[in-house]
Amino acid sequence: MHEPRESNDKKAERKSPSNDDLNLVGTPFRRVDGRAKVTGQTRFADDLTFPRMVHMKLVRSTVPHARIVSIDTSAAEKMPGVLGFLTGESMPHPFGILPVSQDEHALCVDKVRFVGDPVVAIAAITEEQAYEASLVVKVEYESLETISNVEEAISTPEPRIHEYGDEGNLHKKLSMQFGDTDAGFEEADEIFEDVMYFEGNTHLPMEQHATVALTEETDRVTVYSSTQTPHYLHRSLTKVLEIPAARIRVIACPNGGGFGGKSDPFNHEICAAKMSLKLGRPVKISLSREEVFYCHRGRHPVLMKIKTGVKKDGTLTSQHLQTALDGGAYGSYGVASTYYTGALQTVTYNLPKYRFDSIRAFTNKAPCGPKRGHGTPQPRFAYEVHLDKIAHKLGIDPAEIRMQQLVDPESVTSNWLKVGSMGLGKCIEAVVEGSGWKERHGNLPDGHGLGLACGSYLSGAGLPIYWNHMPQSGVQLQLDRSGGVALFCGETEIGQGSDSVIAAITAEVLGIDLKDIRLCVADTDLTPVDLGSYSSRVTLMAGNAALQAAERARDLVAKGAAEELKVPAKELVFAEGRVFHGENPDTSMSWQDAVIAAESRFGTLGTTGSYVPPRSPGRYRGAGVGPSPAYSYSAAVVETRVDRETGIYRVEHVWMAHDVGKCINPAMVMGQIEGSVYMGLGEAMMEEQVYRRLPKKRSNALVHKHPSLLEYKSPTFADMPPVTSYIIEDPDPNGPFGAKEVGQGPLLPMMPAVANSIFDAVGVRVDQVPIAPHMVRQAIEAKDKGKEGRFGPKSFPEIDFGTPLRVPTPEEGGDGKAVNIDEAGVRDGTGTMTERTDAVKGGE
Amino acid sequence: MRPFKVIRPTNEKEAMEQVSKGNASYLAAGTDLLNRIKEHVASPDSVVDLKSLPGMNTIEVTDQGIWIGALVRLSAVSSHTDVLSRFPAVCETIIHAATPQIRNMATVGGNLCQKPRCWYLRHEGYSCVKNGGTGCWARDGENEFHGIFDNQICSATQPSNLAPVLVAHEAVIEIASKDGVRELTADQFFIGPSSDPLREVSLEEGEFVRRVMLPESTRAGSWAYEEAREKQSFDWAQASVTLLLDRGGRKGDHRVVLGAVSPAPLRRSDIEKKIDGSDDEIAEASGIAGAGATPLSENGYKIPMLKGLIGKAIRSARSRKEG
Repeated sequence: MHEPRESNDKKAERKSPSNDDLNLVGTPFRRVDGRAKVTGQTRFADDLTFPRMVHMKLVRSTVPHARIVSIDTSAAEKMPGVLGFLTGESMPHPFGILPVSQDEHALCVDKVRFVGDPVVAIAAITEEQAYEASLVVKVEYESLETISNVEEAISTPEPRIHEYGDEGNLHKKLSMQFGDTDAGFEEADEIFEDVMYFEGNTHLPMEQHATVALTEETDRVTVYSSTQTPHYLHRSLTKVLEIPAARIRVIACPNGGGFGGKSDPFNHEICAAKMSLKLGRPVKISLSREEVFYCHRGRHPVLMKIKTGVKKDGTLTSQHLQTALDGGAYGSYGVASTYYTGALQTVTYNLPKYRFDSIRAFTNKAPCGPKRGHGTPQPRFAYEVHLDKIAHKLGIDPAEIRMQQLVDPESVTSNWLKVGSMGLGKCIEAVVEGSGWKERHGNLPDGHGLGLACGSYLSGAGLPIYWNHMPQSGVQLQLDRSGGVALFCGETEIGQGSDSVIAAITAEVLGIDLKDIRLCVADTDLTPVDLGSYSSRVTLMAGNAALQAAERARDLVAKGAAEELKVPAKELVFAEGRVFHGENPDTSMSWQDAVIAAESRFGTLGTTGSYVPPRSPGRYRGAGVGPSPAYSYSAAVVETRVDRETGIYRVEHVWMAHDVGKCINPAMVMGQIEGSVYMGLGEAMMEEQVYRRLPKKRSNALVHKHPSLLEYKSPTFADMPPVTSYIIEDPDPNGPFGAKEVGQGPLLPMMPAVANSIFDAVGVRVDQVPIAPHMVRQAIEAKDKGKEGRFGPKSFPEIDFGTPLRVPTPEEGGDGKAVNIDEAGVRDGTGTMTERTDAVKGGE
Repeated sequence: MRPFKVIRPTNEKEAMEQVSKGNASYLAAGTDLLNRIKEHVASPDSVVDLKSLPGMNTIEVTDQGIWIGALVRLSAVSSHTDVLSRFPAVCETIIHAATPQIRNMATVGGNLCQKPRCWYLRHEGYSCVKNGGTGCWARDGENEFHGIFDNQICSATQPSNLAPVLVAHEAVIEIASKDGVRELTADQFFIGPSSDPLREVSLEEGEFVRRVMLPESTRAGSWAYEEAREKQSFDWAQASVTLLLDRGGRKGDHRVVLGAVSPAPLRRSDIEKKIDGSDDEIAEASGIAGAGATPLSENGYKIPMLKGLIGKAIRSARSRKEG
C-alpha cells in the first residue's frame, strides 16, 4: 500500500529534489498509443491476416426458444469454398464468465434460447463464401414457450429456459436487510415511495468483435481477439477445448471500445479456436453489427421500487429498495449485476438502515451483462430522482439535502462497505458553483431547468470472478544495458488509456522518458495475469502492480548507481533520465549508466509487482459484491430546455465533477468524463435495446427491434452539449499516487440529472429512461388536466423475495456477519454465488 | 449482403427495358435500397443505375417555376440560391431529413420513392398487405411510430420528408413512362393503401421520376416547417407540419400538410380555414388537429404533438412575415 504523495504546492517549498516529486504523473502527456491510433497503425483483431487464413460465419437461431430437431448442412457442403462445419456436439462443455453460471455453449447443443444464439459454424476460403453457405444450412426447430419479461418469467416457471437457477425461470433471488429498517421507517417524519424503470441498452462500441485463431502443432492454439478479458477467455477456452491452459495463448488486441460488451468469453471466440484446430489453418471471424447486437451483455432492464424514510430536515432514516432485472437468455455476469443493483446505494449519503431485495429473470432475449456502471446506474437513477422529489416536497435545496448527509471518509457503510477517500462534497460544490445553481435552480423561466444528481463507482471489484489467493494484477519489468525498460502486464487497452497509465506510473518512478518504456500487454503467454479491463480496476490494480515493480527496479538500480557514485542508495533521486544525489545533483549519472552499473553487479535485471485488494469487512453471504479498494464520486448539473408543446427537449449544458483521487493524466481523465456524459445522455434520452413479440400466429417469437446502427438511436456530435468538467482530487490511500477510477463513475449522474432538469423546467416527472419527448408531452398533458404530472411505470409486481438475510450494521454493533443464516435458508448449490460467497464465508 | 448485378443504361428506354427483365430495381443513390438489401427485405438480381442517364442532375430556373432533376442530391437542392429564396420551406424540410452525409448522397427522386419505415415491413419474416400478403401487423402490434390517420388498411407512414412540402406547393412530378413523359401533381403522386397497398407513389411498372417542378404560382407569402422526432440530430419524423401562408400573393390561400402521421401527406383544409389572422387562430387551428384521427395503442401521443407543432408553425410563419 502506498501513501498518497504530497500535493504540488507543498513540494515547491522543499529545497532539494526527491523521488516524491511528480514530473509526469498529473501532467497531460500524450497517450502512448495515440499516434498509432490516429494514423491507422494500431492493429485491431479484424486487421490481422495470416497465410492460408480462412473465414468463419455462424448460423444463428431465427427463433427465440426451441429444441433443435435437426441440422442439415448437406446443401452448404456443396457450396464453393466451404471447408468445414462445427455443431454443438463437438464442444459439449458449458462455459460462462461466472463459475456459478456455466450455462453457455460454443454452439447450441439441444436448445436455442434467443434469436441470435449460434447453432452452426461454417468455414470457407472467403468471407462471402462462408456467408453464402450459412444461408443454406437448414435447422429444424420445435418451438417452446417464450418469455419476454420479468412478469412472464414469474408467471411461467415451466418450461425453464435453463435447468438451474433459484426457482423456475428466476435465475437469482435475494433479500438482505442491514439493520432494523422497520424501526428506521418509524423514526421518519415522512415516507416516500417511487416505482421507476430503466430500459436496457447496449454498449455500441465502434469496433465490432473479431477473432483470429491460429493452430500450431496439433494441440496448441493462439487466439487474437477483441476482448476486454483475455485471462477469462483463456480459462473458458481451456475448459471447452479440453486443452491445458499452457498450450493456449490468448492475445487481446487493442479494443475499439468495449464498455463491458467484450468482457464475457464469447462463443465465436471458442468456435474460431476449435475450427482452427480442426482445419489446421488460421481462422478469422468478424461479427456484423447485427451480430454485435445479439452478443449484447449490456444494461439490464430494471424495474425498481424505492421507499425511503426521511426526517423533516431531510435526514434519511431507512431505505427499502426492490429491483427486478430482465436478464436475457444466459447468466453472463448477471448474478453480480443483481447484487450491484443494490450494493452501492449506501456509499454516497448516510443510510443508517437499508433493505435490498432483488430478482433476475431469464428471458428469451440477448443476454444482459455489464455495461459501464454495471448494475448501478439503474438504482442510482431511481435514488437520485427519488431524492430530488424528497427535497422538493420538504422544501430543501437538492444540493443541500445531499451535502448535509454525505458519507464520512474512512468509514464503513450500513452494508459493510469500507469507504476511503470521499470527494463527493467537493464535486457538488464545484458543479453548484459552476452552474450558478443557487441563483438559477427553480428560478429559470418556464421551459428552462437545472437538475442535479450524483453517483459513485468502484475502482475495481474487491474480489476476483473466481475465488483464488493470487494477485489480481501483475507487472513484470525487464531492464537492460540499452536503458530501455520492457513492461509486461496482462492488462488490456480498450481505449480507456490503461497502457498509458501503467507506462506513466513506471516512467515516473524510474525518472525516465515514456518513450523508453516498451509495452507488452494482454498476452497470456508473455505477460503476468491481469484479470481484465472491467469494473474500472486497471488504474488502481495494474497501476499498483506497476508501482511496486517500478519501485523495486528503482531500488535495484539505485544499489548499483550508489556504488558508482559513492553515495547512499537511499539518497539517490531518479528524474529526467538521470540518477543523482538529492542534496548535490552534480553527483549524477545517466539512467542508462545506472542500469549498466546494476546489470554489471547483479546480472540480468528484472522485477515484478503484484496487487491484491484489501479485505472487506463484510462477512455475510453476498458481501462479495460491492467492496472495492476505493470509490470514485461524481456530481452533475444538467441544464435543459423543454418545449412544452411537443415535449422535445435539449440538454444545453452539462457540468460534471469527478473525484478521481489523483489524476495520472488529466487529459485522459477529461476524456473519460466527457465520454461518460455522452454515453449517459444516450441512455437518458434515447438508447434502448428492446424486442418485439411477434403475434401468436407467428410463433410469439421475440425479435430485436432494431439490430442496426441506423435505427438504434444513439447521440451524435450534433446532440452533444458543451461540457464543463471539474477534476476533483481527493487521494485515496489505496490508489497508486492516490488515483481512483474515472472510466465509469461520471456516467451515473447523467440520467437522473436529465430527469431532474426536466422537472425543474416544466414541473413534470418522467420516472423512466430513456425519456422520449412524447413522454414529457404526455406528463405535461396529464398535469394540465389536473392529474399527476408524471409518466412512468405504475406498479411493481408482488414478488416473494424470501426471508431477508439479517445483517446488523456497524452502528448497531454488528460484526459484518448475518444473524439468521438458518432462517434465511442458505440457498446453496446451483444458482448461488458459491465461489464469491465462499470468499467471504472464510470469516464465519 | 446478397450480390447483385449493376446495369448502367445509356438512355431511358434501355433503363425501362432492363428493369422489366426479371428481378430488377432502379438505383439512384441507394441510401434506401442498399439498406433494404442488407436487411434481406429486397433482393434484386440486378439494379439499373439511373445515375448513368443524362440530364436528370440539373436544377433549371424558369418564370413558371423551378425544375429539379430527380438525380439532384438533397444537399444541392437545399443550398441552391434560387430554391432558397423562392421556396425556402423546401430547403428547411430537406435539412430536417437524415444526416449531412446522407443528404450529400441521397437524390430527390430516391427520397420520394423510398419505402416506409414500418418495422414490420422492413423485417424479412413478415408478410402483410404491403408486400403481397394480408393484414397489418402494426395495428395490433407495436405502432409507436405509425400513422394515426387513414391507418385501417396499412398504418405505415409516408417516409419522405419532402413529400408534404411538395403537396403544399402543388409540385408537378414528371415521370418517364413507356409511352413517353407524363405528369402528376404531388397530391396525385403520393397514394394511400386504399388506392394500392403495394405502392406509396403512383408509378407504374418500369416508370421512374424524371424531375419535379415547384410552381412559381405557389410561392408562399410566409411559411413554416415544424417537425417532432425522438433524436434531435437526425431521426425520422414522428409528426411534421408544413404551413404555407398566402400562396402566390393570394390572401388566405394557405396550405397545411401533415407529415409522418398518414400513408400519404395529409392536407388539412379544415385547419387552413382556421388560420384567419384572428387572435385565437392558434387555439382554433391546433384544437382540431386530431379531427378524424384513429390512433392505435401506442401512438396517441401524436395528437397532442401535432397540436403543439401546428401552434408553433403558425407562430413561426406569422413572425417570419412580420419580421
